[in-house]
Amino acid sequence: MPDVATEPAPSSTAAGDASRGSIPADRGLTIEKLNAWFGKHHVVADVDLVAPTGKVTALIGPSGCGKSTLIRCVNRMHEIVPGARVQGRVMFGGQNVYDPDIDPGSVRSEIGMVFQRPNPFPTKSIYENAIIGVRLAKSAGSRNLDDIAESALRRAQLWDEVKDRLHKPAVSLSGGQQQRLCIARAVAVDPALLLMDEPCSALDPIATYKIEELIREIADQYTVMIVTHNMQQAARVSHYTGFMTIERAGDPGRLVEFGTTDQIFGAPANPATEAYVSGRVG
Amino acid sequence: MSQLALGTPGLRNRSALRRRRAKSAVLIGVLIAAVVVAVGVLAWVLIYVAIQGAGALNLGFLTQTPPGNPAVAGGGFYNGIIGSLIIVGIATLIAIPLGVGAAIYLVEYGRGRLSATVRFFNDVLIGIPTIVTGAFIYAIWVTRFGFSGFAGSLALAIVMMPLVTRTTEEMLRLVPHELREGSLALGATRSQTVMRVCIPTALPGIITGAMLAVARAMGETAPILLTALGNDLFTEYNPAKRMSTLSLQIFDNAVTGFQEGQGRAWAGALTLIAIVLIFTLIARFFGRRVRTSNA
Repeated sequence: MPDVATEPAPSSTAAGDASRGSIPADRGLTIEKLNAWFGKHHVVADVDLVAPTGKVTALIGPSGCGKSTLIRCVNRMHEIVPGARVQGRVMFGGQNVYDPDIDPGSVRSEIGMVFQRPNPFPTKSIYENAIIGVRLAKSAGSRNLDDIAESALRRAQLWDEVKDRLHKPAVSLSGGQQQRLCIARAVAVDPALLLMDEPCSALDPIATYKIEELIREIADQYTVMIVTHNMQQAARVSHYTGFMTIERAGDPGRLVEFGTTDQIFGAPANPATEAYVSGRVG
Repeated sequence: MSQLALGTPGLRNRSALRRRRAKSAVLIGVLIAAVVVAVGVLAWVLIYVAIQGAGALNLGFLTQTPPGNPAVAGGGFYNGIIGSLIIVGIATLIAIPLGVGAAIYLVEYGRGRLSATVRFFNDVLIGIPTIVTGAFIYAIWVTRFGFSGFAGSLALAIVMMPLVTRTTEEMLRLVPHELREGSLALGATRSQTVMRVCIPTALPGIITGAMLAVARAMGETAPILLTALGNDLFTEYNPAKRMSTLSLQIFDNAVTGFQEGQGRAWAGALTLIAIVLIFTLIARFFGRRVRTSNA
């Protein structure tokens, strides 16, 4: 099992191409025996999970239970923090993203990510933000950047609001629009998998509603994994839900139950899940 | 109810409220006084230099070299202006890439002992008196290759570099972590993230820092005296030769004791301030342009 402390030398446009070639066969995500640390602190322990293709999988649980860390392990963002370490397998597109010959950059360009707080690039325009992933990672040569920008902004349901001011700074948008721009930025490169780390926690209810609607819309094109504090949100947008928790302070977070969202919220098998989703704890 | 409890002392006790208001008014008064003193001194210096310098400042001053006899009126600092521009220009070309590069390393890549050591020595370097820097270049360069404008550039580069490193580092640290993550999560490499996200975001601050370093270098006299030496006989364009600078000429003319020389020194000081001001405005303008047009 690879023990990843540092990024291996970027070796693999070839590997990236190979994995891209095999993605259509299995666009889903399988996590096997995943453990994660910050220095000596064990934050995620022994997680096994399958996020089915073309569905929305939600991760819920109390603060500090490792759900954000888990999602950041999927696209190898965990390891950018000094001292952070991952063990286990993340199978995506028929390949373990932690294989030694896989370049973390190519993993991240195949898997989109949306963060807690909207983080559009402030020096760039709306248009530039939408296409920057294409510019950075892939040869845009043959495709038309304007078309990519329009289609990404349409998928993020932002097009009608910004089509007349594409070249205005991204920071001129409202918070909710900025977050949808970040979603556009992530989907512009056509990732098979979209990770969302509490994407609505900095937004007001109306902006949240729009984003949730958007998640439901794009779910058939992408496999989506969303971390959320908000149980109603998990219930509204997801097909599958995983509940993570820690037994005692200082323990690593574990995935204690995983199932369809209806089952987790309607008939949880684990007493800890039941206590959390019924609002008795957390 | 608890909010009411918090509010009542103020409502009941009017003298306490008055005391708080008085304290606030005093503090605001002190702050305003500090601003007036700070800005006032600056304005005083500028106006005084402008009045004193305007007398001797004319087209001839900007196009001629100084008269052989300092007691004679007329002549100018053209050679010093050219010398300052060339010497500081070369120093800037050396100091900014090195300083910005060091700052990028410290912020984006540096970890642990090495970067802590580098940062410590950088701070020490900022504190070194510039005459010591001049003496250092004199010892390692001038004793071998003689006085030259380029030796002056080396000395000024050593003065500028730690300032550029320091300000650039501070500005890069202000770039939100979320932006770096956003870029990395798109598959960008660290260097792409630095070049396309961090530097453009921090650019206005980096430019301000660089201009402060340029202004500082423009005014330095001691290290120039020990390296470029000065040359008031003719206008030297070749940095391999002895050169004069504005700062040096201001010093030389100010200490002559002749009114005509001192008049030229004032005019030189005014010219120096004007050059720095013009550069700062140009740099700001370009910084803003680059930033909004997405470098």
